[in-house]
Amino acid sequence: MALNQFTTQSAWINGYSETIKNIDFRGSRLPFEVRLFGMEYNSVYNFDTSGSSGNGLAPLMDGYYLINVSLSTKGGLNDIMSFWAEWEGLQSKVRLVWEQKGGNTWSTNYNTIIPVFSGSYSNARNFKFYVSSTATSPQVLNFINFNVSIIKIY
Amino acid sequence: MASIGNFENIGVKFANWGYVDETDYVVDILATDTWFNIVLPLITQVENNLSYNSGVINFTGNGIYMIQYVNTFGGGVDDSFSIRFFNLTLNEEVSGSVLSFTTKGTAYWEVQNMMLVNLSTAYTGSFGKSTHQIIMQVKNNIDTSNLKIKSSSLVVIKIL
Repeated sequence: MALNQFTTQSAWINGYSETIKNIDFRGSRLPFEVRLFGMEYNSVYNFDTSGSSGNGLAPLMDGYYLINVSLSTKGGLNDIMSFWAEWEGLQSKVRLVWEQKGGNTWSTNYNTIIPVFSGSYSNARNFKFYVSSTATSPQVLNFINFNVSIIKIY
Repeated sequence: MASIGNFENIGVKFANWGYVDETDYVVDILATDTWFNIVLPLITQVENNLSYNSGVINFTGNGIYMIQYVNTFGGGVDDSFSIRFFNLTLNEEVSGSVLSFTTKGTAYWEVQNMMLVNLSTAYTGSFGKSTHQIIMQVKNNIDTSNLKIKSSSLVVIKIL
């Protein structure tokens, strides 16, 4: 049997939510955290999902994590949106930028690799997600679906 | 939490590069239905034993690699574009890498593809080579309108 290159301890999580709250930019171009309300998990290994709000995405191992997020969003009429992930303030440099053309329902995807080095932290810390907007629309941004998979690759 | 230690030199290969400039990157389409290289100036989010330079992904060993990109495209209103990977070492298209899409209206369209690529020894001369160079290419199937790239994320991971 072939062995893959990943000889370190594994970790993964797959979750989704259909109840993430709308984001009302109200003309602000500041980034907003996408609060992960109502997360359901299909598969969890070496992640802490308890969190302060019961919806955490906290890796239990140091390493490098591949993050994939698939979104369905509506509203934010014709705004240019930007979406990214971070772990403990370490933002991924990689952004997904898309247009909410017509305020229609758009399906988009985001991927990145983020290093986790817990250092002096004694407790598991969550991955977080942020979205910002050119915010010229009077419409809120509605998250219809939020699907996330995170796999420890090393 | 357990430390992962020093691992850079044990052959583990993965990388994530991205395009985040506020200015759209423009791919000049000089002819219809003709492939052109996408020479995106990507920044490095994570890079270990792989490299990216002027659009070219440099693989330093044989194996099975996962390649995944998420791009958002604009330009060429209502045009049909195709995008693919091209193996410069073998001078051939990476099989199964072609995707086509329409840049409908003036919107930006997000396109994603994920594939597994089996890179084996390339015999292009007297000696075999275990290094490969792969580049992303695009063509406009309708006319010569340029393609704009708003954002890009490229992930490469050696699986085996």
